[in-house]
Amino acid sequence: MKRFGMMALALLAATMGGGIAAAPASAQDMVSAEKLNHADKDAKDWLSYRGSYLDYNFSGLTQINAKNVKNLNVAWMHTPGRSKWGLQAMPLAVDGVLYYAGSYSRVFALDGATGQVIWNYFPELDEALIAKQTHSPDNRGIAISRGKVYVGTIDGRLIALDMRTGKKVWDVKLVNSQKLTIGFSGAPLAVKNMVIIGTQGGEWPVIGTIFAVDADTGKTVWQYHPIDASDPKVKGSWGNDSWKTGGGGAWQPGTYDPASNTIWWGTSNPAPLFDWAKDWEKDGSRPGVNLYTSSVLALDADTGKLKFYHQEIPHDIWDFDSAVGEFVMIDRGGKDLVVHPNKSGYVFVYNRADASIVNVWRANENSNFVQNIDPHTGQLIGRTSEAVGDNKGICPSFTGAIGWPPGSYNPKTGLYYRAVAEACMNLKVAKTTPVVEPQAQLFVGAQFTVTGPNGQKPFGHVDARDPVTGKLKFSIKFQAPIVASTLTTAGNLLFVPDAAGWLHAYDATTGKELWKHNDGSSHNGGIISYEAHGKQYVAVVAGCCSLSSFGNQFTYGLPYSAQSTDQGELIVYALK
Amino acid sequence: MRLLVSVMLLGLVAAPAFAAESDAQADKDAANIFNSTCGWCHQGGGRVAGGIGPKLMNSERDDAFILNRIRAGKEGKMPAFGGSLNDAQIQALLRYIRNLKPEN
Repeated sequence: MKRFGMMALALLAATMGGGIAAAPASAQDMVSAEKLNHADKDAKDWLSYRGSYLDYNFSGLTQINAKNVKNLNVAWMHTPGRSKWGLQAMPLAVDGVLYYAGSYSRVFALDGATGQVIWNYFPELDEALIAKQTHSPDNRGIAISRGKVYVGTIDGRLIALDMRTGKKVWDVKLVNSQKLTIGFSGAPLAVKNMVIIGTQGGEWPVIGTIFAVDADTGKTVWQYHPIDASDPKVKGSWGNDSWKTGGGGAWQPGTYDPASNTIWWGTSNPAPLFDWAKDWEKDGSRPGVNLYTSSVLALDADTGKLKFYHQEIPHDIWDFDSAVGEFVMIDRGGKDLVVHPNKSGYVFVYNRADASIVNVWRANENSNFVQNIDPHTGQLIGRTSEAVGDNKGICPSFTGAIGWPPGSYNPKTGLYYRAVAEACMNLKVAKTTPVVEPQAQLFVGAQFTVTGPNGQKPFGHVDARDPVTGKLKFSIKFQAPIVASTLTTAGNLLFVPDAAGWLHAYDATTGKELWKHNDGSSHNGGIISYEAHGKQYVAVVAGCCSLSSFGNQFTYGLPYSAQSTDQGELIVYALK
Repeated sequence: MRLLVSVMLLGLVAAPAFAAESDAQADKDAANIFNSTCGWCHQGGGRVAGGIGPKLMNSERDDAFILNRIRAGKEGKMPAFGGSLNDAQIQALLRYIRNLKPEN
């Protein structure tokens, strides 16, 4: 009874607060498509993975600001338990209630002001399968719409829960993970009356899929295979029928452009990750450009049909996904643009109408896999190749100059804040055979070591830049690369959760550090801000480690070497 | 069901599983397995620490421990390969690990 009363109060408060739609007539009206379309105007909530479809990771709240952030303190914490590989998800917040998922897709609804548990849901997963998976059991987020919370599972299911009670509404099996190994680790995206989610798939000899399911029934509306061999253009870009084991997952959520009814979604690298071709158009393990891997896709939201695309890395031999990275919707000089960072460190600026190139700029310092990417055409200039045996000093590393946790854009400062890693790799490339029976196994194609550039250890920085030109305003250096989201706010703040365990707050205009607090474990996931009962909160997840930060424990010594890999906490801050 | 079947079909490829017929073949398979799968976590072919998994070269673990770890894995750390690899292949992986030497 108490939780319903609290929810009703929250809804009433939201209604009286103005600027938000009237109280919903039914559960399905809670977080409507219309509300999601205008989430950027709703500063009190955090309604989708990157805050709104604009993908800004920006909060319009100002109660916590550059002048008073020094008074920020822990308001409450939540420990979900069973947190293998820490917490990696982006929390969401609706009407003063915080929702988030931990490892094993365990979902919680918490009172945003006190942390009091309103409900929890622990799905029964195929534990035997999870024991065989490499990337298990991390979960990177949830979606909310039409009165329901949606979560993907590593055993290939998508589940809908009643956002008031946590009771299961539907549970659908979309992928035969027991055979293909891949499941869902990334967050879904709620669009109109659908939920969109993409599979893993870049490291396995299978083919990824993007699913759209009916939000109310779980019935599949459409599915899109990034490697759709029924399209001659796609099939012809994979020599020797290598498309059959080509990878092409779509594991991180994209976004939605309501004006054109377009879903923007990035795809992963092809499999195997590395290749031994001297002439990649004719030989090697997968001759050709390998459509549509390492690509940005624009899909019709209603049908899943491909409208247009740009393949950021044709014939990717470095694991430079386009599945990572936000789709930052910028309006500049009368043009509607999309800014999308690729894992290679190159940031692509597109026309929203057709994905034509407006600009390409580079975020990382150490890069030699190509001489450049043409800022006018997006073409790779002076690309390198890999041969069987040793290939040393390739920069950046396959762990990515750009990681999957999103950066943030502040429309008030006009700056885009992005964590960047400086690392290189040594490869020993080998000719390998894909294994798909009895269960798909990783299909990497090389032994490797990750190194730092120029004899250093790998390091990281968070840069504030113009998102369209790439012009640098300031840069903050970190010992270990940041593998967590950044958050920026209308209070002229930039929050950076680092890998050592510190949560930092900076002046978003100058980069001056204003406050920091130690969360006791590295950060490898999301950070949001929301309002509950008239008060602003900042919520961040902690717990070691994401795949690309696991090596920190060997590289940097303390405190990294002492971080537990089976604990996670949600820490929520407010002004004293 | 139709969706599930179509996804399954896309994953089905004629390439056989690790079909080891002899120790020599199994040793060749072991290298393939390591280059394709194990090396994702055990960097430098198992020669260095720094990835997700530990260094394997000169491991002080006994044979029984390593064989069991390959078969059963460890929750949240290492996948279990007992259902994917046969005994000859797992033994070959052990030989691969024991034969690891430093590289220049």
